[in-house]
Amino acid sequence: MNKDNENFEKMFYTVDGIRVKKNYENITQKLLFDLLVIEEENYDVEHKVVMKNVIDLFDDYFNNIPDN
Amino acid sequence: MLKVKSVRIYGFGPYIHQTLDFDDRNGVTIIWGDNGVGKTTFINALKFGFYGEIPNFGNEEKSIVNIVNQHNMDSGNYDVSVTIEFEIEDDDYSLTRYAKVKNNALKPEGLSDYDISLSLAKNSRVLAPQEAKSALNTIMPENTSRFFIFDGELLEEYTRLSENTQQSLKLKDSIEQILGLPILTKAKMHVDEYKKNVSNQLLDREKKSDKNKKIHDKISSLKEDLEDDEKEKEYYANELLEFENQFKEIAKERYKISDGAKLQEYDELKKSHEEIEQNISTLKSKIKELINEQWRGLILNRLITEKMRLKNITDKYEEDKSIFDSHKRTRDIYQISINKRACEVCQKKLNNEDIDLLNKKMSEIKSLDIPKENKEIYEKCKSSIMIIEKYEHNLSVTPETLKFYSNNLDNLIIQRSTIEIKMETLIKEIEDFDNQRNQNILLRDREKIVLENIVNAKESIETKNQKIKKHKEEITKLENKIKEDINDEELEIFKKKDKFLEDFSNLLDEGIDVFRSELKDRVEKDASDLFKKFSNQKEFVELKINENYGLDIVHKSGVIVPVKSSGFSHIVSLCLIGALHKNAPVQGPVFIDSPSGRLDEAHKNNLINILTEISNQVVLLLYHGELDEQNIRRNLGPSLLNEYNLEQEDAFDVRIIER
Repeated sequence: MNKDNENFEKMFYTVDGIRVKKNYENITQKLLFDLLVIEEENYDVEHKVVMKNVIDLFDDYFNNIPDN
Repeated sequence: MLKVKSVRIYGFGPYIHQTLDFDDRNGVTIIWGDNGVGKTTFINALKFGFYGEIPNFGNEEKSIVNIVNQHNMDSGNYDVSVTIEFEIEDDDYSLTRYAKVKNNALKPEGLSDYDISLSLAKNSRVLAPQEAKSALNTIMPENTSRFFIFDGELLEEYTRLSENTQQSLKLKDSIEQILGLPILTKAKMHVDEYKKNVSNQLLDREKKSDKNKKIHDKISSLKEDLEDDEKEKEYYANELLEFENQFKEIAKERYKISDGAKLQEYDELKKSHEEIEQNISTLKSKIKELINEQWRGLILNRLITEKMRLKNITDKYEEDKSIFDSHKRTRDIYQISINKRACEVCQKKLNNEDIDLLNKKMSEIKSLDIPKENKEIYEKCKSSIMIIEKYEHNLSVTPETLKFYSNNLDNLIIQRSTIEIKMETLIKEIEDFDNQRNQNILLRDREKIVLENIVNAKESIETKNQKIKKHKEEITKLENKIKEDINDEELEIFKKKDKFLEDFSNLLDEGIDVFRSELKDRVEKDASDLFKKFSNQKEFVELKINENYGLDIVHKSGVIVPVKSSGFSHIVSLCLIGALHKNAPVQGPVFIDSPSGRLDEAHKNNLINILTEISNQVVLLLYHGELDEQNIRRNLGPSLLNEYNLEQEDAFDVRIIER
């Protein structure tokens, strides 16, 4: 599986559509995309490894956007 | 798209060493084989290759031995391997699953005698074991195998999807996995886990903040006390400085007074004078007392004579008393001897004559008793002696003693005179003596007061120092308790983070619901499209997907028709598999053993027509006559890529021969 496939695109745009529609303005499109890419690329990787990537992603996000 | 390029089977079932190369074009491959020749074993070899799955014939331990090729076993070769070459997009993979006999097992009897291992190379690079396992799980998750490699006769399990059994829920999970839904569900799970951590940190900080606030209040209070104490200490320090300056000033003033040294000398002489006066007075009293006692010395000789006389009387009495005591002891012995009629000393028995003798001696001794009045005289004499001795000492004062005291008195009087002369001289020498002396006394009194003030100030400073030290220690102790100081800004950031993650989790929650619903709609639509082509019953217009991805048939009237027919459950299941493949993030091959099941001829033909819509790579394992060969070739046309026969050399040697 890879993020270029049609299914991933559908999945991403479905969630992103909700993000825009429901005014989750503080959640950026890039963050959502990066999270889903991590999940897809580490589909069957050990939980703690994926979790570390997710933690890094959010830590990095929060560190760079201190207002959040 | 995952496309299998070749399968190489070594020592597995009836396959001693067989390789099947697939056409790289999209289409259908058919493997023909009669019952019992090796179609199911081919499917099992694929499952072993991809998932390490070994068919269990009722004895799991023995299962591995049961699949080993009999000819190989006969020649002592018990190893098995399956190699599958496949490609995903532009990447080439080579997967080999080995079942090798352990070194120490000459003749393996079960799984414990085997090492099962996996080798996976991606674009000719061999992956490390853990990486290979992980990559393979990503490419072909085991729980989705039912959608790639399956037995047509087992398709009916899909009709149970509408039931809420454990099996159907497992199947539902597999369907959602092949559709890629776990990407979202796992994303939500991970966000929730991260949020839980942030929420815990927030809670922790809120608690700490509250606790810290109390500690901060206490520290502030202590710091105020400390400040007060330091101010007071400073006040006392200033006072001390002031008193010390005053002390220096007094010293200067005293120094300024002329003849200050003489004044001091005068004061010292005055002190000595007072002491000598005291001694003279004491000595005079003593001498007076001695003189008063002196007249008693006239009767001293007479008293001594009388004392001697009395002494003679008492001595005589004491001597008599001693003899009497001796007689009394003798008499007692006699009396005891008489009573016992035996001598108390030698224990000799006494006869009457002896007793008479003893009685006689006893009466003689009795006559020697001291008269009672002698004792009274003795005691009176003793008392008189004591009175005489008491006065005897006082009466023994000699003129020499008196002279000694008198000389001492003279010396003291001389000393006093000398001091008085010196004092007179000093008074004469000191100019304006009275005034200066008074001034000096005043300065000394002031000096004394200032010194007291200095001592008090020093004590106050020391007390404050101790209080300050105690306050500082308490402050340090409390500050250490605040391990991590939380400020309002940080707390606010954590609250925002928590809210942000809650929003994110809600977004994913809604995303999962919506995406699942969209997937179902798409699966339902694609399955319905396939169904319309597959089914000859034109009144059945579409399929309706239920909560668990089970499919029901919809009559043109809108009525839901339960799938009761085995043939139709087969059709519906194949439609579901086709729809799932179409909507799966990874599309793969479909290997179907005996796909026609209980289909009638018409639906068998329809099956042929929709094969290429189920997957880009379809491999059918058919028994001869299962499907009409002419129809297959005609209907599939160029989509029929290759046909193979499974040909038996003998029961344990099957070859895959291209037609």
